[in-house]
Amino acid sequence: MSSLTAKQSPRRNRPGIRAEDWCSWSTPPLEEMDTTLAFQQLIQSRVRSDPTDIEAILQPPESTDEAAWQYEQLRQICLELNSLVTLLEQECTYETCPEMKADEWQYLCAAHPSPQPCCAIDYIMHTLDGATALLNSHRHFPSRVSIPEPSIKQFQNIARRLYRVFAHAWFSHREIFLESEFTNRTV
Amino acid sequence: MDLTARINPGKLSRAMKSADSYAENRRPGSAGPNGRRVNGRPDDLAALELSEEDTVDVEKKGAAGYAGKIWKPKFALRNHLDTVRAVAWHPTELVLFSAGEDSVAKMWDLRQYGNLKGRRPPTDIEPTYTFRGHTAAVTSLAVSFSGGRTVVYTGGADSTVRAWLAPFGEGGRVRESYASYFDTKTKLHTFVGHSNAVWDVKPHPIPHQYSLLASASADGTVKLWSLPDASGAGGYKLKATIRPPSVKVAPTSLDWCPYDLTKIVVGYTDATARVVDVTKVGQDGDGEVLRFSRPDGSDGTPSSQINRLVAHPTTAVCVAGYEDRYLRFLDMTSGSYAHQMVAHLDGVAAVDIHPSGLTVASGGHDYSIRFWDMNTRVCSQEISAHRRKYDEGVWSVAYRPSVYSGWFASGGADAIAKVYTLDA
Repeated sequence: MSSLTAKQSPRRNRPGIRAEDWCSWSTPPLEEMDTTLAFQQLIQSRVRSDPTDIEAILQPPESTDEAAWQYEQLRQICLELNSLVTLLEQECTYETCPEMKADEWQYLCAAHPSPQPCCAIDYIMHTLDGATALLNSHRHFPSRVSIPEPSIKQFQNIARRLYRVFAHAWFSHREIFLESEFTNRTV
Repeated sequence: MDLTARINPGKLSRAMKSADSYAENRRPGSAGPNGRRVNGRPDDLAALELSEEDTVDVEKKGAAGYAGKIWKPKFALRNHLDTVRAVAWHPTELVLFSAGEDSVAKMWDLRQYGNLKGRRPPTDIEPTYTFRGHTAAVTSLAVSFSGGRTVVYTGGADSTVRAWLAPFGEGGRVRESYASYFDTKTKLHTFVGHSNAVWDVKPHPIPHQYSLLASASADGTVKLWSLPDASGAGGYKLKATIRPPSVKVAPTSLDWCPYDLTKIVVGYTDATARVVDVTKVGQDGDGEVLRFSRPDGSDGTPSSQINRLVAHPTTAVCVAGYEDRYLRFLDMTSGSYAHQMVAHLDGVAAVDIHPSGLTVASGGHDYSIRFWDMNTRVCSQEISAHRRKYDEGVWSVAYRPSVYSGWFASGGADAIAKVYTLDA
């Protein structure tokens, strides 16, 4: 086994490789990944093999820590949401959307000591920044393989706020929403 | 330092032996039940990186560095959602920049934490700003400071190079983390011209004198771009393209040469390197003034390629980290290798030289960072720094660019940027 792995070229995106060769390796089975980032590796390999097969991407491996699995899924969603936000930024401005609205609802930005009526693009960036900071908080999530019980309730808060970004894009920037949905994801 | 010396076999084998015996001496008994063997050696780091906490193992080895001072981890900067590919310091302020495979770069204003006066460092530090715009992994990052403006250059797998104005608060104060993005104009320019992933980007080290930027891409070329000068005159223009020395070879890393500021040194995927005079690009030989053929024992494939090279600040030497575990010292007066040594248990991905020119730091896919004395090449310290993702470990190391600097940073596959200080 060790001689086999020694011969295989390392799973590594070396400087100088072409963009199309990014992560062009086979992902080992979960039980052979001896790293604390195994869930992230598995989720990203599923996204690479078929970004549209949401069911397969979300399916937790057998006998896994469900909270740790959900945690890594949320990290991946925040990671990929960056591409939608980058597109939105070109069109969603203070002039077009001075308030964060989706359909008839207006949302206040929770990233501040007291909620503020940020314009939509600021709300979106602050919400993504806030979710990213929370997921990376050593206080709430000291480990990526074991999630403290009291931190699990943060998942819902994060998901609820991130959802509004999609809602705003759908109601106010439909073309960008669709473009983002159909663009191949790169992870 | 002996610049003209060819590789001396006796000296070399001694150096390799010292590097090897050094490696074998690490943490006896720590291999544990999960110990694996990598290249025939017990991989005690495999056991280490399974620990759930970000425990950093600091060891003092061999000769004491800096009169007994060693590098100790101070902050773990967590905010990237994927591998941190590059870290770079602000030229004058205690501000760090990082770039990652999550397609963004981040600015970390650490000035408020510069002197903690005995207080414990905060558990969670948030970045001051996130630079969004790249549509794929950001592979490289460089910072320049000129005319009171801090400009950040990033290169990405989306084939673009981008210039950003670093946002400082009023009067250069710390910017609030959740200030308005809309009111903050940071996008200066997107350089379009490369046709594949960009892997390195370096502005000229004297930006107020030479308004030039060099970038290296998987399309095989190194491109030189002119920049507006401090007064804003002149634009962003493609100035020259340096073609690869042979087909199917791409540049991986480049640096400007402080010993001759019209020259850059470029490392390639076939383990060769060359020095190019940027004033002669386009003429015969494409401006190449010196060529380093692939080192003895190297097979000239990407498994022995140059991953990172850095020109020495005061002598005509370049230190390069190779995928075949070597650090090599390139003599840029003769085109020969002044010295080489096995520096890590796996590929060497990151290299930096202290601005004094006296020590070298290297980071490898064995997850460790090692500090070397430039002249004796003795390893003075090893830090087990980052946890593994796939077969990747440490991707970037950076000394703070001040001769008196006691600050250092690293970035790795575990999506964390770490900051270290030199402590007794």
